[in-house]
Amino acid sequence: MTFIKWLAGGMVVLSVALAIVFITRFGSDPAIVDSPLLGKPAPTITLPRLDGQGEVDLTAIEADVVVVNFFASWCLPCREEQPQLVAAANAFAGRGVRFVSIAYRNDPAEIAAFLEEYGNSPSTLYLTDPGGRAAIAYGVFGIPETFFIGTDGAVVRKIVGAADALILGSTIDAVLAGEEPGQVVVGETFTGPGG
Amino acid sequence: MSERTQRLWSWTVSGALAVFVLIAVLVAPDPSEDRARSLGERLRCPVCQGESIAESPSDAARDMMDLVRSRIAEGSTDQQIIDELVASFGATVLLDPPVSGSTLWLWLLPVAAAAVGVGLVLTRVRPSLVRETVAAPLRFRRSTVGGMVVLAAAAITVVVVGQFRQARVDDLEPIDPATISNETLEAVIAANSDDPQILGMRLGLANRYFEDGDYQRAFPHYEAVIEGNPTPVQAGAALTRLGWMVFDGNGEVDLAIDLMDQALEAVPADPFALYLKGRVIWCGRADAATAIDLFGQVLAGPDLEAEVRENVEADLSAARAGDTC
Repeated sequence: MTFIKWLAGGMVVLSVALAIVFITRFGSDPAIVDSPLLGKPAPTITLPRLDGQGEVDLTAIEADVVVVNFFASWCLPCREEQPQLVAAANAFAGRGVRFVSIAYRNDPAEIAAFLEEYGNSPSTLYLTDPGGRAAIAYGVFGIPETFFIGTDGAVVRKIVGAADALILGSTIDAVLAGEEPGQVVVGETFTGPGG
Repeated sequence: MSERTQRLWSWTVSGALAVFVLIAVLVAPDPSEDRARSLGERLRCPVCQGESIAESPSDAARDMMDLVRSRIAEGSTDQQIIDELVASFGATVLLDPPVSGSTLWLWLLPVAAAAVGVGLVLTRVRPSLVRETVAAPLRFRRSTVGGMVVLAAAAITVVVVGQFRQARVDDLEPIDPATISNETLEAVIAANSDDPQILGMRLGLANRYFEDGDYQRAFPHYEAVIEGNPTPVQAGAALTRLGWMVFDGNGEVDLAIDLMDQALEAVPADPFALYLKGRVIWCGRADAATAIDLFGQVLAGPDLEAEVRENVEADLSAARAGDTC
């Protein structure tokens, strides 16, 4: 076989491989990419509390692990996730873990109704995100997305989709154990009130 | 034309020009908005399919355009703004992927494909040229090189596929129950309290607390197990430990024995229930004879763990010797 034919064969192999890549990507969410924040310091951002009682500097929260969740009342997976987040926040309350829930693109009255219906934890900080600045700083592609900030202030884990209590808790366990940073996709996300 | 008319014309023309200039200034595009739009056209809307943030009507794109405008107003350079967004979203936020890293192949592959295409065309057009220039020994060498090209392509495939692959929850290593913290178990139990399947996990967590001597946390879980339609084994385990806790924690001998009897009804001759009942009777009622009988039943039972056997034998010897508990 000539060199050119071998070269052509190589190109065919590559083309088929790329086709496989694109086909498998079509089957998944093309918006999901590994967060460049993993292993890097968490973004510095200050957000207003949902109840209007002042602001919170996310990097100033004193905890071994800070769990930052982006949610909205119009996000269907968030409804499934909320009771799981509440259970995890309550279980880890007073154990050096602080949950922060950031409402994305949501009217405060709708958020309040959502928290009333799907539960809320007294230990969780509920914040709003005017102008979507926090969502941009964290590189949020869709919600729900959850970020875990370790003791050193770096983003060490990211969960895409609605996490259950086991995934949330075992991720916190992994962060406390100092395991390697990483990201996992557990379900679909919503990008806006239309889905 | 009179001088007065000329002056009037002159004022009119000057006034019209001034108004024209004013309108032109007012309607002229803001240079900073031009810059924002130009930057926005280079940035991908993260929630859209191939649209720039300048074109997309989505909320996320509008937020990003607002950020771009405010950064321009603050004096940031284009590169600083791009770097900020790349730091958050990765290079995927750029509509033109960078010629580096995982997107390098997107630039190199078309070039390589074009080169091969040209090569193939040349071979077709001038096959004699190839035949003449490729001698037999050389042909073998070129075939080897060609084979290496295929292998390299396969290797590149593995790398490229690996880069694009998203870690999904099914890919996670199974979680070793021993490594799950009590807090995680509490969270899972609280989130699934209506699920009857959760009783096993609840009992496991209660046993952890029991073994650590944390009766306050163990107690509500054992109670919930008993109230939750448990299997006889689950009921027996919960009742036995509840019995020991009410004795050890509160000194309630009768209640403890009653609970242990209920455990033995659920699981007759359960060695742990017999042993703890024996200890309650020995320690709480100073009834060594009944305790010796119960310890004997435990030791006569099958499959006793070595550690339990050791403890029972030690207690049996002490009771027989007339020692107090």
